[in-house]
Amino acid sequence: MGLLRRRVATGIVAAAAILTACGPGASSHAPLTGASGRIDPIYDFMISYPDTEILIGGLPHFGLTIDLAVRFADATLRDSDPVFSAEARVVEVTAGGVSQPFQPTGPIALEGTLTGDVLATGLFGPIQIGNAVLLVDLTGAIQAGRRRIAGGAALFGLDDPGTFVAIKRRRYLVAGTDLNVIGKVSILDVRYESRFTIEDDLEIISSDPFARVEDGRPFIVNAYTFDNLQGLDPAAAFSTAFQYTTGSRSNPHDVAVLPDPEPAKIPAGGATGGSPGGFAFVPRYEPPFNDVAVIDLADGTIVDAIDLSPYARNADRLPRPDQALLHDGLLYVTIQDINLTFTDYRTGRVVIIDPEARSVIGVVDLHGQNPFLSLAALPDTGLIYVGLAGIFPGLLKQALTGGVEAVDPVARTASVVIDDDLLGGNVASMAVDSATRGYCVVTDSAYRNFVKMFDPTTGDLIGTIHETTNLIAALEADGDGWLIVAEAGFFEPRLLVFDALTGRPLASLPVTLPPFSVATLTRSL
Amino acid sequence: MTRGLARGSWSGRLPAALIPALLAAGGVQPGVAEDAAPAAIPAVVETIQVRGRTDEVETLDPAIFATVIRAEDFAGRVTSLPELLRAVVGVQISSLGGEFATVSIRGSAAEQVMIYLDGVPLNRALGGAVNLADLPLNQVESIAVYRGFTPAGLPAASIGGAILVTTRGGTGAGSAAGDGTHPTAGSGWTAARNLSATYGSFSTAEAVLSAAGGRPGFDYSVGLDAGRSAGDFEYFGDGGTAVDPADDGTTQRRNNDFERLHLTGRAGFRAGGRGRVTLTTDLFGRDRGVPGKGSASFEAARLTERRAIARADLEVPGLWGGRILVRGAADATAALEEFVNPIAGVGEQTHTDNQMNALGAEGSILWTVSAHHAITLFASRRRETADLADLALPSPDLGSARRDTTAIVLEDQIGFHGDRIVLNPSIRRETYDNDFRPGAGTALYPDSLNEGEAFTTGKFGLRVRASETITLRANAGRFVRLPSFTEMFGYSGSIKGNPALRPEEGRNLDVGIVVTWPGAPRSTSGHARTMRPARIEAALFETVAGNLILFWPNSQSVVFARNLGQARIRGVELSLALAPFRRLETALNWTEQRAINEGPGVNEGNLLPGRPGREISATASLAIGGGRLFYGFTYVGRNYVDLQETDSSALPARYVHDLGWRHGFAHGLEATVELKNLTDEQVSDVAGFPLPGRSALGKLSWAF
Repeated sequence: MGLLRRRVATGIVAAAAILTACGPGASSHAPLTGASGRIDPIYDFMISYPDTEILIGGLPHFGLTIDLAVRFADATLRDSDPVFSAEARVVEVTAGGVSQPFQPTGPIALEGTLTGDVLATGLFGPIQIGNAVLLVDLTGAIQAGRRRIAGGAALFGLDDPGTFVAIKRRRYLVAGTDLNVIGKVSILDVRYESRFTIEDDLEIISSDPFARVEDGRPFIVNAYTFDNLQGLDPAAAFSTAFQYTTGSRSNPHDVAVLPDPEPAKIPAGGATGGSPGGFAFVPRYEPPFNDVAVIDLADGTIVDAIDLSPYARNADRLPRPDQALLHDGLLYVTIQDINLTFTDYRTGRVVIIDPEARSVIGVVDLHGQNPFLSLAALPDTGLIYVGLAGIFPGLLKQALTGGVEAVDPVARTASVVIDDDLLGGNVASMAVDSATRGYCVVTDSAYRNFVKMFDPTTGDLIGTIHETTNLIAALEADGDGWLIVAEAGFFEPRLLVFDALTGRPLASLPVTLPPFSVATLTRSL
Repeated sequence: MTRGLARGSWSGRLPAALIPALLAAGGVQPGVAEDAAPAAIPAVVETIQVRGRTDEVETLDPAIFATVIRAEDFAGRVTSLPELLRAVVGVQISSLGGEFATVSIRGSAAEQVMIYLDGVPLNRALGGAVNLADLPLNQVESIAVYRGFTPAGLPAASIGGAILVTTRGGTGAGSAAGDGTHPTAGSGWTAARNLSATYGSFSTAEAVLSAAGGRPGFDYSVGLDAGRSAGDFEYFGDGGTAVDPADDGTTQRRNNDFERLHLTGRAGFRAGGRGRVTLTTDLFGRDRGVPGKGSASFEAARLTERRAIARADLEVPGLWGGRILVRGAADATAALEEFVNPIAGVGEQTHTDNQMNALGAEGSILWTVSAHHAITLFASRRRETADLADLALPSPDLGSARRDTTAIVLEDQIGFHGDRIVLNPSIRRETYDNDFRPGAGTALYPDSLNEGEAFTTGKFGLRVRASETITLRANAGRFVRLPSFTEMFGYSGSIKGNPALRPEEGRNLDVGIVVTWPGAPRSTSGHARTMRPARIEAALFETVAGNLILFWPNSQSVVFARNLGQARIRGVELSLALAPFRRLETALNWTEQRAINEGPGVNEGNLLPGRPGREISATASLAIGGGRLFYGFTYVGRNYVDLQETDSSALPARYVHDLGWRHGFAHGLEATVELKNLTDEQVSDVAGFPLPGRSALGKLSWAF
């Protein structure tokens, strides 16, 4: 462009001739790494030494607190060795109640042990505050469902007693979209259960994205007309590690990942041999696919496709596979069973697949129609919950033929938890938090959207915790007592955070792109 | 475009990718000299025929910045209407790399540009922009591009401006001498015929037969165009993985073929002592593949289009002592579109069968108050209907919509100081009534089935001829775009209509200067002129568009339109045409613009997508022996595809070079060879539609 500005004044033809030399300056993407690591647990440590006195600028300061973010290397936690490695970053230091400069601002390597529920860091540092150079040693017990660690804190060379409390950091992967041409990844971070930060625009994704965390790894399923599976690397600011096509116009709706076995367990060759990257099972919604594609995450090869057409009963024999869930070694896939023009709805089904054999081993018939974007297992009850939308108003009249159902994976039967007649509209999304708390997005005939609370055990409708005329694109129960609501309004797109037990709102967080899908990144020790 | 409309009462969610997009928004041709046309109102006013060899071309409004492309400007070329318009200053073209391209002017949306074929508006109340590939370029006499403002004497105006395409007339009015026509001995008839054949890359072929003739009091022209292409160009694709370069590579465009046929006719004859009647028609048919975007193409989706346009014009000049000119016209349009997609995805039609009809009547009276003052009263009434169906549905009827539009325009044109200063105010009163009958095929009803509204718009134009060579122009006005049927009444189960929509509104302003050197006369010794003809035009413009209509979902299954957006577009247009040497003609057009989203919303202040900040075109042609070498260059600046201004997804700047040679032979034979996109630039448009790389085309024509 600089060339354009300099020369064009010399004459039209001369300008054209010069412009001949101009090239497009096309950008090119760097090769992808092809592998993504698992998400590391992060805990925020507040370390307090109330009796410690340090000199800063020649003045004494009493009482020292250190705010520390510790990222544990996931691989070292999952092995049989109690020794783990981690990386600590000092976030803030206060002395005498006043924030103080510190060094280093970069990471501090840490190696400790995790034995049972006891965490010991050993000495790590140094952390320089004023003229003081500190080496910290923490030992504590993991509590409250691994959400909290508390214990004692020592300083090398000093007898001043200290304590610490560490809180597991809540993190969420948010897939935002302009609902037109582009999407982007954001990360919602919550420190100490109350300090919310959002990192926007971390990576480019499609405008039809589903955020998923499978096998401790973050994925984006880029759906219709994008048709690929995008693996993000949590160790590299959630940049893309790989992107594998699922087939042009296949419309992938979800992903479930069969973890990679230990190398020794990978059989050599064979159709169902192992892969060091594991296998992704991706429901492909559109004809002529109508299947669950099996993708080798090591190289993106589609190694198999499990045809679900035999399980569809509509006139066009289109199964419309939607959601996938790996539970107790089996893969559960919802099928909507709707024809090509979306005018012939059959009752929904859940197909049970043996992921090792890559074959269907059972079918559970649901009572309602249109299992829709919702499939979750709840350890508290041992059941799998399915949200069913019924029929949205469109070519056909609105029909409340859905609700929430529970699938018993042992008996392979389904039962209605709550009917959408009681909910008052189509169930557009569903999440379960506990045996007594479930939530669903209900859209009524006037296109008002509600987040309603129900009891998954009794089937009682407890109440409404949120109402809006904006699209609520997703619900996410994080398994730690919080519910995230993605409200994709045009003017003020936002994430809403609720206490999943009480339905009490905790935060309303503006985002730059309408949030479309949310997945929980939070990982425990 | 039919397939752009989503359908959905599916079970499923509405795919975000299919939700309609946000903010649906040249060379000065050598010899264009509309400024040279006198503004004075002649004592006896008549329509000025736009003739191919006319050096001075009258536009419908002396103040509006307009570019007129005449048939001889592209005679012998192997080109297309999008290519020609791309070279017009202030004009942007969006192409899908096949038989679909749209135009926007000064950063407008394509739907905000009115396009007329022989006076018949092609924009449809159903919605969507006009496909430039629907126009019969080979039979075109002139293309007038009015930037930012629409002349008063047209039945519909919009925010971006208007493009008037006029087909060839006959040659029998006694004024056609020298047009290459051949008198038939003793009969008084003249006749001209032309036959051409084109063939080139991607199995592109075209055959054109034109004939024109007449005798005093009667003239006619008829043209037959038949074209086809496989459209199977190779392009560099991303393998469906935009981020991963590992699977990128060259691939072939599929299902991008077309076959097209145009039959165009025009006849004019005298009626009574003064009157003149002109009948025009264009019959058009096309079958084509609808390939979709590059990485997610439809393999078998086909679109069949049929359209018939007929229009009758009556013009009676010289009434009341030559002070009154009366015009009247009536037109009819019938269009059928059938889209078949055997494996339609969620939100896509399977087998639509839509019929759109329009009937229009208009009349005007031009009163020449004095030699420098004329008042025009224009009135028009149009009825448009759309009958929508999806034959794949158990109940195919998706409903019918009707719109009646009435426009009354009063235009005044006053010249002062010997027409050195011309004022041109006009006021337009439009009313429209809509009616919708839902079909049995949908259960998604709008809140109201009958809506109407009336509004007043207008413009004020000023032209000041400061000297023989310098002309100043300025215009200010307000225009609207009516909501489409789709926006008001919904479509096919996934778009819920919003009858309460307000029209999109634009307030336009421009000011500029035109400098024209006619060139010094040749010396008696026959040596070269000391100064050659040149023309420079520079204009500043601003458009503030409000009430912009945007589709947005309000639930998992349905989107609906709302008046959500506002935008401000400012820019500079510079065009230059000169002939520095006797055999060399050159032209340069340069447009700089900033189209800013003024929200509200999180993207307020960002650039609007799809509006390049800079566009440049340059052309040069050199006469050598019996032929002419021509070169064209087009630069389209980098532009964002999203409101977030995402750098990594922006369309890179595009540099396209074309080169051609045209050679004349004896007996009216002429041969042309053109190489397009010489450097094989691999680009895409509209967020993922690949455009062809290098191609070669040859044309042989015979005038007889």
